[in-house]
Amino acid sequence: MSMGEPLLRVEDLRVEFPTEDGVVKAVDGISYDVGRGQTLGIVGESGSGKTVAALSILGLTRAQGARTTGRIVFEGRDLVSMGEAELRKIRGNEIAMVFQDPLSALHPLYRVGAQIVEAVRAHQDVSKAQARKRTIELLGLVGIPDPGRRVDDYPHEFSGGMRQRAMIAMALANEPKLLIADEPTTALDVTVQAQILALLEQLKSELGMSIVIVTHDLGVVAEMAEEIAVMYAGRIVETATTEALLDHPEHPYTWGLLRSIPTLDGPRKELLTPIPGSPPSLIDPPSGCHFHPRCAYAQPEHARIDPELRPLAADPAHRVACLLGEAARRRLWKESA
Amino acid sequence: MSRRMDRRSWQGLEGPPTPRGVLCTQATEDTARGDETPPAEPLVEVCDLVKHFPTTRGIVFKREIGAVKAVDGVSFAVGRGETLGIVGETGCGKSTTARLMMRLLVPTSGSVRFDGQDITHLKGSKLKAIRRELQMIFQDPFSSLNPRKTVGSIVGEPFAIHGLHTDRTERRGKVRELLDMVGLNPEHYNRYPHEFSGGQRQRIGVARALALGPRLLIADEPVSALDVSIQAQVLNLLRELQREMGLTLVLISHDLSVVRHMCDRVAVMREGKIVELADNEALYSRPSHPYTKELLAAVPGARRNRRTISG
Repeated sequence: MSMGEPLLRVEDLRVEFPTEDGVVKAVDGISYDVGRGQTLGIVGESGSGKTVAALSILGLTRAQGARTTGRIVFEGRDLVSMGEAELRKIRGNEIAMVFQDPLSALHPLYRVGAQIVEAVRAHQDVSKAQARKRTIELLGLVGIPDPGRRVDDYPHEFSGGMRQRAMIAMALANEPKLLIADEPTTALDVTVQAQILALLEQLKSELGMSIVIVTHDLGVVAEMAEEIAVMYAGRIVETATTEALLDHPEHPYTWGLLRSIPTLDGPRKELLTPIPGSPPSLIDPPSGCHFHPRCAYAQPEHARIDPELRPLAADPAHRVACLLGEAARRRLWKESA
Repeated sequence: MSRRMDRRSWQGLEGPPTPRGVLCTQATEDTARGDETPPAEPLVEVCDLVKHFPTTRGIVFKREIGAVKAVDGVSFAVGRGETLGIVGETGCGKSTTARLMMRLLVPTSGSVRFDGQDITHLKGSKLKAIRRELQMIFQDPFSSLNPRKTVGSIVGEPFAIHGLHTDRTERRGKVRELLDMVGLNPEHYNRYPHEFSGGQRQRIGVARALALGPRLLIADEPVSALDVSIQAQVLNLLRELQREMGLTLVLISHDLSVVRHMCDRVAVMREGKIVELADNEALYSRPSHPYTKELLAAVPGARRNRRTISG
């Protein structure tokens, strides 16, 4: 990570939801930093806690009765202990969010422009006319053709890609320092997805934003992020720079993810190598290493010992929570490749 | 209305019309390329298939004001035992093509031949008989299974519909066999769909599709609703079953990597037409249509890979 204080520092974040069936430990002690102008990709499957981890930065899990502990330090202020009124000043202003499904995130009965005007006026003391001017500017910035006319359209009159662009325009309304994008392109076709990712990239370099992008798609983070954190069962099991993580992944779960996906350029194999079993319950996760029931290299003691996220000797920025030795992992990864 | 319908042709966007009634032994001229080997002995032949959904105005006096050309002149053949992939983006007509092949929809024009027999206008018992040969796996494993039926009765329903294995114990045995074949525990016969994970539900869908021993299986986005670690399980299952049972598979997907992995030949669809049809290797290494190139370039990760290779 870059020098000095990071823009966002998450320390031992835990988010639990009490339910009838038991306490769901959606996020179970994760820590990470996001530097200024940096992009962090959080990768995981459904139920890995990646979305909750993103939502809790903005305190959006509070209403659901979540118990949140740990620290989320944004520019020296702890967002976990911050009061709702104060947090509201940051939300949508210094930290903004782009949600997965733009159709349900936009209000269907209000014009797209009016919703962005609302976001502008929530944090800036400007007249309606000024806010509207800014809105048209923003829609143009995110590549909506003829923004002066489209500003008065309703969400249903926009295509999926345009709605996602409108969401991004709304998130950018107050020039946030940090943008959190939760599966920003999952619902979109590949060509539109490529456009949205290119747009985020461009805006990042123009405005100097930091981005936390949450996704299940390793291809998306490979393209966008400088650093990747892989989540499994509410924890980060591996984190490294994008190059290091994709070139020599260390955790068997990361191996599994990389191997189970068919590629566009690699050799075509007869069968893929799936990860056996299915993602664990977050109410009653497996003992020891949470991944051991699905891990091909698990030893009996892995069911008892809970691995910590430790840096590699060769590359301290590359951290892994795995009970196998470094040498053993290197050998296994080489053998299987 | 006719003006709108004809716009494409008078702008010269449409190739020469394919002669109707002629058995299409090869793809239409605009999609054919040297790299494609048409199957010698096709199981399915789709010839100049068209499906328009009329759009109407008025409640009492309905007038047609136009048509959505979901499928607009598609021709291809699927060889016995091969896997044909159909890729394209939302709204390109790939799912409509599948439903036309299954005869879940009646085409506006064109024909579908299965094993030499024209099934385009079959009705009643003849259609029912041919449905035993054609089965489909649907995209959403949550909405394609009846939540109020047990797995046993879902998988056994094809038998009930076609009056097969009427003996209860025999049917039960068959269903257990099917569950075992797709990697589910046969003891879970009496469970309900909600008790299964997404991947397991998709297996139930596969078991149901295989119950009648079909020759053609059409899988419409079979893994797009599943987690990445589960996708590979279902893709492997399909491939193994195909090999064991000699199935012919038509795989419909928006995911170019999945199609590359699974298919022998690939058709790329756009706006109701096939823009390119080629052997897998040729399509991915030497795409000829600009739209295919655009699709391939848009896959996330593709750009990074190229950067690392060139850099």
